[in-house]
Amino acid sequence: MKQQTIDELIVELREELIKQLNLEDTLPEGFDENTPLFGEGLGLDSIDSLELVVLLDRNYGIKLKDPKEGRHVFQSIRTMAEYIAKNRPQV
Amino acid sequence: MGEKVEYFINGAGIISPQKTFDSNVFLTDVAQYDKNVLTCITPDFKAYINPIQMRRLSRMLRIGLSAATICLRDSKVFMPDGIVTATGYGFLDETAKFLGEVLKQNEKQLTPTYFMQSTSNALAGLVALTIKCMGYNNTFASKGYAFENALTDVMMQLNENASANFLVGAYDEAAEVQYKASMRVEHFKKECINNLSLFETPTKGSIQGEGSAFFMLTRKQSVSTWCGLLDMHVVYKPEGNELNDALKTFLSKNHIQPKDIDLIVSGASGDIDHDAILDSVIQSSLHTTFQTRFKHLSGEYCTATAFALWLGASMLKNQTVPEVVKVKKTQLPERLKNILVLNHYMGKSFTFILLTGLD
Repeated sequence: MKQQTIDELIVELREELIKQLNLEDTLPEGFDENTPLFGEGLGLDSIDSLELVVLLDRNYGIKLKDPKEGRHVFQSIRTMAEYIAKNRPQV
Repeated sequence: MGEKVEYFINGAGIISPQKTFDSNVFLTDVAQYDKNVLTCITPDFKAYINPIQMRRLSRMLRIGLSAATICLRDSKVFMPDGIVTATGYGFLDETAKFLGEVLKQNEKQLTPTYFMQSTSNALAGLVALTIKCMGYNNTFASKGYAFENALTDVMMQLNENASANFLVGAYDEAAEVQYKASMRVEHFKKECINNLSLFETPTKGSIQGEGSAFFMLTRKQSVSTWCGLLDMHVVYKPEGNELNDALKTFLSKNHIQPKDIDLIVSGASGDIDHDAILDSVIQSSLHTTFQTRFKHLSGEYCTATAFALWLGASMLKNQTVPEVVKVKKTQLPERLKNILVLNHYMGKSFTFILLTGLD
């Protein structure tokens, strides 16, 4: 199986996030892969962070165990994509 | 007659299979359904819920939160001292989704949202979080008596604190999982009918409904007051003449004679078996009283008493009786004063509520 590039992962993650977190109506103008997911930016909350942990596990087979790691991984779609590319199990 | 008014309904909000969310109209434009499941006519939720919050809410949570918000705005009490909700079966659709996911994912990797939205107290918590109400918060999930238990709880709370305002509400949804189960036990009609012909179909079963209604209950009359709530009583599985006797005792306890009741809100459900006891009590004790019905508009559900309470309170507030609810027309006084709600759920759980108009 061909390994996805970071750019391909970004496109996929963007679609998945919008679908999983019902973000269709609340996307801010200028939202891109570098927009912060929490706080100012997308404004996600703690429940969303749990949804993201499950998404990483279900879709990419990555178990995030260290909460401190999550803070970095979930900064933006780009940081998520980079983390997935680096840590997803090799097929 | 003339019992002291103990409680006041100082605001209400309801979303039902009729266009009831708009308090400027009172059952003038009646919705018809050519199926046995009546679902809510919903407002534009954006008028009541901010979009960021709304994206994670299920349909029923949106309905419940909007009904609560309508009530808060109507009563002009934006920070109640407590919130009490009631539900017969809770959020069945979300529960089904959550359990479906448990099976699909083999009990692993479950997302939190479905679970959070499947708990019966999710609505009371959501309302409290939205308005930042840190006061008393409770939910009753007790089938046909859930709303009655919530009302009792609020009345007891108000007896302890006469200056408090309590938001009390109910919700139940017409979920597919419940409809299938209810059909097996003949709670709903086998034949498909139009909702407005519910009482002309003398067969077993009713039609399924849903809705959410909220009320602001206090012991202080205000400019927002709709009506007074004198008393409530419940009777479970009455036998023989028990229901009739209980009604007589209830009225007598409140110093009211049957002739003092201007109008009955009957919870007849269109089920030929379940309606028999209620009909016989009305025939026996209140046969000359003006009678209204509502389950052709709301459908049957565990907390339909909340719809009946809204209907009674609305008629007292507006001093009008919508044509669509009239069943037995007798002479009405110039000004409606006393309304008796007589509801039943599945011919087992019976409720009496006495409402009174204010001069």
